[in-house]
Amino acid sequence: MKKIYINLILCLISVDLSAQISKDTLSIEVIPVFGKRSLDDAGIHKISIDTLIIQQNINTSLSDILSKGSSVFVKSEGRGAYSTVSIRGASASNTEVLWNGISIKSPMLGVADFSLIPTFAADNISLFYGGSSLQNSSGALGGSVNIENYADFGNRFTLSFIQGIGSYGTFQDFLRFGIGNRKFQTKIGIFYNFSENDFKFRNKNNAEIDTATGNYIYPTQKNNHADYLIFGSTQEFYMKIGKKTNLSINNWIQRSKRSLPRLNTFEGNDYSNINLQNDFSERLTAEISRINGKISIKYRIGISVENSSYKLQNFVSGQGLQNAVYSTDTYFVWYHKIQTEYRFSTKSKLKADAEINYYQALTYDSIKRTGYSENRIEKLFFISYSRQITEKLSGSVLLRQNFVDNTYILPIPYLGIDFLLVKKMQLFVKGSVTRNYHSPYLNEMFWQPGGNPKLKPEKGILTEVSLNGEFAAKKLKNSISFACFYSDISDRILWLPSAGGWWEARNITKVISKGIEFQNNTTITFSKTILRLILNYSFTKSVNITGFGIANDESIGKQLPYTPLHSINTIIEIKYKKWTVYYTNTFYSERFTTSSNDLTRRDRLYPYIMNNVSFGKSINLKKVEIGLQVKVENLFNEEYRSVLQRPMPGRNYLLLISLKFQKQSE
Amino acid sequence: MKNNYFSLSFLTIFLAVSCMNDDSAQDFQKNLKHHGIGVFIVNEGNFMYGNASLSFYDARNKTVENDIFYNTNGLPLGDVAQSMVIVDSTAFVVINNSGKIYMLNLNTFKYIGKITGLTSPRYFLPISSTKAYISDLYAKSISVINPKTGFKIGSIDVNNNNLQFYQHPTEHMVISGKYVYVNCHSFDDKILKIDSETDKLTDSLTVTKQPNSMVLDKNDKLWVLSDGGFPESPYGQVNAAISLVDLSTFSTEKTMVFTDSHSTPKSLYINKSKDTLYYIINNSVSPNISGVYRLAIDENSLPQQAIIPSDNHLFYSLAIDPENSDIYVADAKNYMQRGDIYRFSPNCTPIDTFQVGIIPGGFCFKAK
Repeated sequence: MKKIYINLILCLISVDLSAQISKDTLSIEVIPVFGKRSLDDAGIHKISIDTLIIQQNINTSLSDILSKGSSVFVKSEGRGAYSTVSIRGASASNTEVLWNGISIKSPMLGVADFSLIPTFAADNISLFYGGSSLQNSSGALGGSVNIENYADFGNRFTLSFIQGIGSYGTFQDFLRFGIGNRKFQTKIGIFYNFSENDFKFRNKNNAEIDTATGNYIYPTQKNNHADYLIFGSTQEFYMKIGKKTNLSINNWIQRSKRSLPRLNTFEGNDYSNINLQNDFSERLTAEISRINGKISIKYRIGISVENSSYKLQNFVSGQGLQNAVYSTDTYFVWYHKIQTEYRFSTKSKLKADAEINYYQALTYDSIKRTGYSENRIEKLFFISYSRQITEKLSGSVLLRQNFVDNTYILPIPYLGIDFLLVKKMQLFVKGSVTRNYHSPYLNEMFWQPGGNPKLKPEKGILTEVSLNGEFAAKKLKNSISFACFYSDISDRILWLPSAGGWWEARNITKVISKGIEFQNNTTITFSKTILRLILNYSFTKSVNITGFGIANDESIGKQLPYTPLHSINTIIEIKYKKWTVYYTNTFYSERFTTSSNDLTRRDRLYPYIMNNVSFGKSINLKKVEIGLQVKVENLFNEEYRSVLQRPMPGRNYLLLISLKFQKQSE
Repeated sequence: MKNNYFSLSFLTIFLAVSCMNDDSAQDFQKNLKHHGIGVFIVNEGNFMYGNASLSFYDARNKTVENDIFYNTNGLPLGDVAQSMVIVDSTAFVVINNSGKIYMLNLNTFKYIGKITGLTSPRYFLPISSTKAYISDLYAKSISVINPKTGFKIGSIDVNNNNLQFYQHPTEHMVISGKYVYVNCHSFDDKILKIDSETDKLTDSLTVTKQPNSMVLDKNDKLWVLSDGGFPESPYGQVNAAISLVDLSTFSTEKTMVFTDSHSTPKSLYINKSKDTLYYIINNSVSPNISGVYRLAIDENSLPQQAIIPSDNHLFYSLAIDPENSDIYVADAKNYMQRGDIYRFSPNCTPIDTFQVGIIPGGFCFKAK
């Protein structure tokens, strides 16, 4: 018993890192893989979201996965509503999102709505912190989130189907099947997610006065105008051409339709202030790669198309609902990238990439008739050299050179090292330093009014040191990571009020972000019971150094709004035979809503602590595995705030029934 | 032993019981004070944050109380507080993006009622003891309500049936005789004339683009301040101007145009004797032009020198104390922190500076 306590305490005070292979939540066996480190990894701080977390949240969006499975800050405006992700205190626009190598952020807004990114068809989700993101992209001063798909050439036939029915009129269907042989594989996914989302809540921000007593009566209201529908499909094709060449094609097409709920202080006409958003997107990539001895070459082409419309409607007497705002955003991006790699030996290699991306964007408000139409061409070059210098020391240097519309951006250098401290525990010290640049987005330059074509790129000097280790004992497997970072971001692009009265994009503030990150992943196996403990913690002090260049500015030296100092995420999973209990706890410390960090009782975003639990049971019927899972969100049925004046749901339930069939090649 | 594992695990889970105390936002000792004379500052708050607030400044004692609505009532004011008007012993606070108007006891600030079901209310104008008008950004009509009951008793259609630019968004209202004059600001250039006896739109007048504020002078003539729109606006941009409208003929008597196209004037106000106008200019290209300006109503040209230069401030709104003509000017800073109010004597000597809520956009003076 004493050992158990010691083990648990160890788990709770330590943290995790590595990709865990547990493709099937319904199977018992969980095998941590402590892979050999790649030369590319020198100085790189990344985590792969544990496949356990992905599988447990297969019916949710990327925002849910990241809030429940990492310590990055997810700002969500409610269930199914707009959400963004900030890493290391940088703004949401400094978080890159890559899907099979191409950016899926809007080149106009510069952010991705993480609530619209389904994860059921993702084979791997990884987070690259700070300068580590330069391995894949430039400009991500906070970091990047990478979503990847890959083929299992051992597969002959796989079919998985999940049906979900839950509170507030929620219906979900996910179907994915794969077929192939050792030379060809294809996977098709279809998803549908609808919710009326009309949960009831006690509205404490509006009150009626009881005429008899004078006391307040807080009305119980429905979260009206908050329904959402997201559906789409993914297609993947993988082919081996000869022994040296691989071809892959990935397509993702999606449509969504959402009503955007009003604040809970609203008491206006129910046929006014109606906000609707529709989005259509398609992303297609094709990649051909060839390995010939020491040389490998990869060529990727991709397109990303998105069409979004937003309407604000009000009832006008005699005319019905009229659009006060009807804006459409359309963009088309064409990506080309060639990647080459030359291995001098097993201990050193050189990589060189060239990328040309073409952007075409159009935004137009058909009521105000404002908008812009702009094109952009990016030419991006990358070269890196990695070398294992000694048995314990390896290093990597990297240089990126970007041209945006033929404007020369200063070179982006990166230096990273790994030093093996304890071989048995694969305990590494890692360090990296980089100077990264982030070019302004199209809205920041051309939005009407307030766009500023003279904006300079944001500049970030990013440094970090981390300690990473993995070790295994007979019944215990553990991986741990501890990182300290320091980021100096200047010329931040912010929308600020102008003399003319509209918002204007300007390079204005300098921000210093510093902090620590801690991850631990522990697996303990006792006979037929497997216990998993995952802990993620971030401390982020992100301070405005220069203020906004205005008189009596109280923002100087203050924490950035919506940046919690502490962020903790805890996951406990217990598997016993075919039964599973899965518990998550997400904690964010207090967030400020003003740049001056004013503390008022009225606008206080007190620490956010959310508990969720699920219970699962799997049944094997010959080759078919049936899974039953009941998810309970907001376990303690709490009234809470995530952002100001937005209604949040109480305890809610989701029943998931899954069927899985898999046949592997002999 | 197996049982021990499970009991320990579940114990761990339930130890993590949450402790978000959302009721703390309501459960606190409320402000029960009675207040004398002073000035209310209406702080808009950020759009879609619901952090609007009311501040109250005691000019005699130079003390300010912020968040007076919340501290008295335990409720947030709402999203984008636009304006405030006092009728007898009741204050009407218009909450634009919450579609409602709170009615407060003027002395205790206790919430005593509300007018709900509005579209996007902007300003409140009492017509009589049983009738008031509410202008609206999106309704294309002016609501007619009974201020005693808060019930809607009618509406005045102002729709010009032009789908482009969503005209007419009604804003400020002034009453002269039986007629109410309403300016239409965003993507518009009209002053509407409404008969308050029949509650009908009777006429309209075209002025310089985007009239944002207006006042009546001692001669019962209407002064209209237009900002002219923004650069590259599809509606077109012209230089800002002040127009004088003769209400007897409902025609423009004179127009004085600002020579600098980058000057954006706003917040036209008039002193108690109704013979001197005040307004703010913000200029993005020549910040030294920015500041508070004063114009006598018999002048025929615009002043070139600010009486209160803005220096490094972003002046957002302005008011003149009807009792002593003290000048109150609000600095909204970066809109993401609490704003400052600067109080000056009529000869522009600084008297006091105090901090209020986010984006102080309106003033309302409480007399004896």
